[in-house]
Amino acid sequence: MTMRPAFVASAWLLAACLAALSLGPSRIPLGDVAAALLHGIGLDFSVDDRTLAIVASLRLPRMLLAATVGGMLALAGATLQGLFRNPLADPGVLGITGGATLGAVAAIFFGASAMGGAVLPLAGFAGALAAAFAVDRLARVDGRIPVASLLLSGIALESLSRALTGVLIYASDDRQLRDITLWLLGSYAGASWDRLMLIAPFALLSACALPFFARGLDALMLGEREAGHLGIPVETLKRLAVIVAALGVGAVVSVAGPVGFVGLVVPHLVRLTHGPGHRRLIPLAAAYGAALSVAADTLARILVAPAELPVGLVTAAIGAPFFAFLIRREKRRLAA
Amino acid sequence: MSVQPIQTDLAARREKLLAAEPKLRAYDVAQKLGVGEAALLPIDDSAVVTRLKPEFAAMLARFKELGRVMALTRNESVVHERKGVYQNFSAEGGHVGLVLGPDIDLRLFLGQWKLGYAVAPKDAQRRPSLQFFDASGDAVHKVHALEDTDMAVWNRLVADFAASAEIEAPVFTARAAKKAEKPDAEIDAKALRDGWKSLKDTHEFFGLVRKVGASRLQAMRLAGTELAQPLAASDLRATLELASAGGTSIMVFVGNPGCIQIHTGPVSKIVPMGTWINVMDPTLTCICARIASVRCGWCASPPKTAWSRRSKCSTSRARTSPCCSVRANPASRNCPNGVPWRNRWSAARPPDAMRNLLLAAALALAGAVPAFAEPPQRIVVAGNGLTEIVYALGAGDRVAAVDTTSLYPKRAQSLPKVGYLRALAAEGILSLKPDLLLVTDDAGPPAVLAQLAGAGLRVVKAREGHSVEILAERVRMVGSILERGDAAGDLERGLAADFATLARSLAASPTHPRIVFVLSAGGGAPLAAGAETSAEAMFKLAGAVNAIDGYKGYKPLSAEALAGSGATVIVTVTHSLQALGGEAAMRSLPQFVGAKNMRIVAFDADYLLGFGPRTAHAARDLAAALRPNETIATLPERPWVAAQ
Repeated sequence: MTMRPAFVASAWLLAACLAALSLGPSRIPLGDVAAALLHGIGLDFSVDDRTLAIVASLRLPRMLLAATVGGMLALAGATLQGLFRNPLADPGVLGITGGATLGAVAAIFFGASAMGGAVLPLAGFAGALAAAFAVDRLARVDGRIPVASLLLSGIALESLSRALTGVLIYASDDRQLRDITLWLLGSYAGASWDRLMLIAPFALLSACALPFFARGLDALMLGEREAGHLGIPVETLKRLAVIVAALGVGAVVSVAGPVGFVGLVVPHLVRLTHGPGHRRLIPLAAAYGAALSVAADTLARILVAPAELPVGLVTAAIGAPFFAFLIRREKRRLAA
Repeated sequence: MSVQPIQTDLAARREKLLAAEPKLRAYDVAQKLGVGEAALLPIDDSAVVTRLKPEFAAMLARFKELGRVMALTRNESVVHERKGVYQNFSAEGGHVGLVLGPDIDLRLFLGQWKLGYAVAPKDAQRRPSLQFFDASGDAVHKVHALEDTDMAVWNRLVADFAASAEIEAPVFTARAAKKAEKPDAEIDAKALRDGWKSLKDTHEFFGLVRKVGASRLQAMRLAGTELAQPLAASDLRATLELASAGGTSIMVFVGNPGCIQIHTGPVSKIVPMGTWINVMDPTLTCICARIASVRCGWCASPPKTAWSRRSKCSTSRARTSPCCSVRANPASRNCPNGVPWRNRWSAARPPDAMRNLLLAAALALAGAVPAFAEPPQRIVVAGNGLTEIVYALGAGDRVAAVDTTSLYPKRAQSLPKVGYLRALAAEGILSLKPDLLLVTDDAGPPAVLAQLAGAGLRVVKAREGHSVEILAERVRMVGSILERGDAAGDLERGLAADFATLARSLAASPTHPRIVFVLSAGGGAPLAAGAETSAEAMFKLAGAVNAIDGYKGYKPLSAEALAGSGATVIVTVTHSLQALGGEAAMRSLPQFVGAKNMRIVAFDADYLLGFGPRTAHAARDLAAALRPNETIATLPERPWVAAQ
């Protein structure tokens, strides 16, 4: 990868992060943001309590969470699209999102809101892992996992999770219903350092591991057999990529809810502008995913201030028109 | 022998109750049978019960020989169990006893101790205990043997103190009635406040309250918010959770007339369980509070000397800011006995009992409920009922923002909206620079409320629920926080009078209509209100019966369920009716096929379901609409009902 695209992506991410720290229902000048951050790490900068609370306790963990979630979803999306050789694949097709949703909705139904703390994310994560395990079991044929079978198993699991989630929604009372609806739209409002610590290991692991699959995924574009002839251990690659993506996506979805479209749209965006090579695609997708997610959350905080939009609404509002544009463009290319 | 038949009867009733509810605790069995626990012991055939001589001080002095035991002190609302050794017992003049062990820490009012029993269950799985009771037969204190208790010493102790067979049978007196509170006007509130400000030690508080002739709850109420701020019952849990999260050492006092048992130290695990909240630390202590019976709490300012001690302890904050974090002051962990700032809880069944629960929390907790010199000037309110109360108390000009459920009065609608009650935004609220966030206790998300409290905003939660009592409690609480006590008193009395007028009028009515409440959200299938909804609560107030009681909350209405409900009237809200296109359009829906003979009545949603100041009038209007052929008493015009 040449330096320029990486530099541009980093610049976008940095700009989004600075905007996220500075903009919001109360605007805080960048100078004060810097002072609050420096004060936060123990340096002698004077800053008033309110600014400190907003920047260091609210915006900073929230920005980091938004970046982690967005980056992770885009990273997983890019990997899975390569793995399935299908541009429609996103973290949902493995059934992971559905599993995490079922886990979290079940937790709300059985009173997790009252328990507080980490019950909700842990239940979501457990659901994601259970779904990934079930898909793996379901898809395996003679010790191999054919891609088509993996895709279909994922879709089956997703439908099953959705059906069970529907049952819980039907049985919920009004208050649980509101909680579930809000969770399903995705939000970073619960961001705290504790929650960040909860997901950081999984997200970091995935973020470090997935770029190493780049060469294999490039070879897979030629077809499974061809990749095998090129010396790629195709089965191992599929196995590892799915596990790593499942861990990362399960962790972030369990904390932030199923934030839509980042995992689907961002890899496409990068593929259109920087080509399909995974060595470039995967890290750039992560950077742009993080930037989009942070920017969308900033908008979510500002647009209806002093209230707040669920971030999933904003990403979907950006994502859906773009997706439509994408389809039109593909159509033209196919026709040409 | 005239006592005999009564005893047999009691034994039979006890057996019947235990057959129905085998897991009931001894305390609750006695409560349900309407006797003291002591009256049930002699007829308990599952244990060998030995009456003990009333030489309690001598007995307590020997408890240390038993080794580790479990001490249990409880009252109606809270149970405290603590394992340890009875060390350093002393009794002054035989009336006030102290046990000052590192684990078992007791203040004993031995004058109240009248009866003692040793109970040895026949079931070897259950451990023996020593139980002590007051004159009415209520337990004041219990000691349970543990696995490592020296049972040889135990048995010798029981033998030494066993009463002779000639000891006369116990006679139980009725529980002493609580002294009625004097009217507020007869209390010298200024003397109370001045006395409070010059307190040097928390113990002097009792003397002060006695001197001015107030009850302790009354003292909290009359002292003004500078000295005592009301808390919602739910704040008990918040306080414990905060202490748990911070690893803070706190003191918890659980008392009854005969004994106060004190926990000092951190509270590790907070476990809500149904209507109870439990502090679980299996090796040491277990505190269980029955949340539903905790009616109110107060955060009281500490005496002066404690203040100065606090400012000495605290490292960085100025005197005007009483909040200190644990991190800023490691001393709070090291010197639990030098607790500098006490956060004191009083849980009571109003208006009489007061003693139930006192909880003193250490310095770090002060951050959660700091003392506030000024009544709040910029309030963010979430919850339609609460908003109505704030406006009804004439404090509408201090409201900075409301949530999306607050649609009444009209003036509130022009204020900034902080979003839906359960999806509040931390930053948005902070950007309004409020000095108080007033919410119902189902507001959320919890993480956001924690962020807001963490950022130094005062967050006060009012109990959520649909009852006249909770409404009155909310009015009192809001009045006290906003220092609009007079207006709150007027509103509370007015509401009580109006509800009473309505109830009298309904008592004379022969009809109890069965009705169905239907809500249509966004043009979808209509939903019907089941049990435990605000609609059902309104039906009860209007002397009607909810015909749909097979489920809780709102569920889609089916034509069959409606036809089979036996309802005569369908109640709905005006915006639902409008959304459906009027009454005729509603009747044409397939769900209403079986409803040809049912009348449809529509009310404004906030008026009918808001559970705010207008609720008495709404209930009256509903009652009248359900009974077109009867005359239901009209309620007087009230300023809080007139359009604002």
